[in-house]
Amino acid sequence: MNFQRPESLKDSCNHYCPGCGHGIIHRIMAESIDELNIREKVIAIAPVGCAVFGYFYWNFDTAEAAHGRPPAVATGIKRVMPDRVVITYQGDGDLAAIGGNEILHAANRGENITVFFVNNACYGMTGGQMAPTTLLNQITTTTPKGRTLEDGWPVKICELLSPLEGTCYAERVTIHTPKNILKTKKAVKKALENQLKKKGFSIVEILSMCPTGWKVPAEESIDLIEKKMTEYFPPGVYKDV
Amino acid sequence: MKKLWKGNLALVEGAIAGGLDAYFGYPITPQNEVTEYMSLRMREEGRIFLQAESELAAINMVFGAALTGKKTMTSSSSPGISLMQEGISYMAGCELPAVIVNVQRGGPGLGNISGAQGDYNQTVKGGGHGDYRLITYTPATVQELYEMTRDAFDITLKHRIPVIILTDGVLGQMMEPAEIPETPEATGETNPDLGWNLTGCRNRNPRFIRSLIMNEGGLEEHNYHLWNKYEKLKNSAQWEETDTEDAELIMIAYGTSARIVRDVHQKAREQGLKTGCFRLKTAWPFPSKRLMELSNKAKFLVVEMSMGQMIDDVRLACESKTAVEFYGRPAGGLPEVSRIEEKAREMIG
Amino acid sequence: MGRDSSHMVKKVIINKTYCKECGYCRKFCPDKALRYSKAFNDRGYHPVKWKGDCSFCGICYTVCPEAAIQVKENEEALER
Repeated sequence: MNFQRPESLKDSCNHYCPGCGHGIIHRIMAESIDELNIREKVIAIAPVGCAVFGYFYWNFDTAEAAHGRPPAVATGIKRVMPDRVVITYQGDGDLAAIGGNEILHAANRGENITVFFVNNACYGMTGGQMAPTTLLNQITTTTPKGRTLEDGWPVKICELLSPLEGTCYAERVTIHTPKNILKTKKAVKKALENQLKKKGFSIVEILSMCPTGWKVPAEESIDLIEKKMTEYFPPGVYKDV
Repeated sequence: MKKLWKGNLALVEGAIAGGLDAYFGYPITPQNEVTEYMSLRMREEGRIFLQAESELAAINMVFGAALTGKKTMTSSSSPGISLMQEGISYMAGCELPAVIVNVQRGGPGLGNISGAQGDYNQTVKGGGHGDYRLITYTPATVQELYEMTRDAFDITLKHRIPVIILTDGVLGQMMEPAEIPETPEATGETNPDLGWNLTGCRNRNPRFIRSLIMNEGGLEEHNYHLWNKYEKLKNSAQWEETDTEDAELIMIAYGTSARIVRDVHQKAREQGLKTGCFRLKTAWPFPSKRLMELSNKAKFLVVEMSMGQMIDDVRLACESKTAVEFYGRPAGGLPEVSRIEEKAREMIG
Repeated sequence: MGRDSSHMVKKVIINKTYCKECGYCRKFCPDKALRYSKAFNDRGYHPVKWKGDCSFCGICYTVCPEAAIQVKENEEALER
């Protein structure tokens, strides 16, 4: 079995920090798109966040949306071109903060789209500020003494969206070990297949490393996922209709 | 054959006649009839209608549909249009085609639900951030609401500049005779490869559409490119003149104000006053050149349903070479014929 | 310096320019077949080097955020 760069991933060096999870997720997404043979049908939407330059790495049609708006943009595309595969790729701020209403209603309408939610518990692109998913006591640039309940609890997206009738599939996975990366790939592929089967709204929440935002070396960021992130954000299938 | 049509409904028929593929909207007075009638007519015609969860979502759904090159539209009123400014700026930056209808009401803030003209600056001076322009139509009759909306789709696709129909609650709610033919047949496949739209990369290289341009000098170049497009349209302004040849005072207005001004002009001429009318049909491009010419012969009285916004563009256009004065009422008040007449007499002297 | 791998059926190819020295491949490689070079690449990182032999499990490819590592047929060997 050969392990080589998938066609849906352009041959370029990305701008992500050493150890950042985006590169791994991009590759998994690209492999799945290749294996399902849907590259020519995909229209993806890049977020505002570190992955804003996704279109430099993804070898398929991509648009850049305003912060938080990908689910609404995806709705617009899917409604007029229902046979295309519409994907949104969003971070913590994009999906869970400013985009909270758009993701809620896209899920509620059962929009037949696929959402990849990259949860790294901070705002990477802007320098590591608190995100809705930042853990209690976690130090960020806007919680220099650690997050307190003054800012509320970390938001659990899979748990929030699963009860909605429109959500057909919600799974939380991680990419901090090879075994988990393979599990994530399975989830990613399933979320895409659901769209092909017209089952409704699918979301994969991926706990991802952010060594720069967490101010730790890359290898330590893997431990933080294992020890801290999965404790508060348990991986698992939350809905699978 | 002319029939009585309500403004808001006429503009829906115009959109359908223009080939609208997808409408996304949110209820707000005084344009609810647009969203409601769309929900009926679009489904009848087998096209896409979706009531969004907010104006913010609606404009982004329009952004999405526009990415694919389809004909798409939204409508709202002043406070909702404020919410859409982000999306509009993004669409201008990405050069996406779409039609936006603003049935203006009183402001600022929640304001009231009466027709007003307080969003002129927001529309033509860019309510969203950055340097951009929107092709802006200012209908004054129910017939124009139908025709301008109908024609807006090909125009926005041709230039890849969003088009806004700047109307108001009075026009939206009024009923008057209009000629609106039976809707023509659907035009078939409306998703050709336009060279830029996102349709999935079959038989071509993948594309991307974005407004973030970070490379050295990249955004500057893009801004010059946009500006070039706008410059080319500078002389395409549309307007209607009445009796300006020998006028000593020209009353300049658009939309509902222009209808009132027309009455003032009729009465004034009957009494021997040499007035004239100048009615904007586009607020951008603005008819600067023609106003400059007219400023050599006449004084200007600008009438708006606001505290005075379009008047600034009139002064700029004629470089204040002639007297330019204002009469108006904000917040849903209708300018009174007698008060305008009084002002006109005063100016003619 | 690795062993001469020209006789092997497969080989591990590393794009030295893309590697950012994150350490994931080294951490997860079951055969300890990767180590850092002494040299720097254009970005100022010490890219990883393959020692020349391993079980070709593909874990390094799986964990690399840059898709800088590939594991594929060794055309040289196949040609023989």
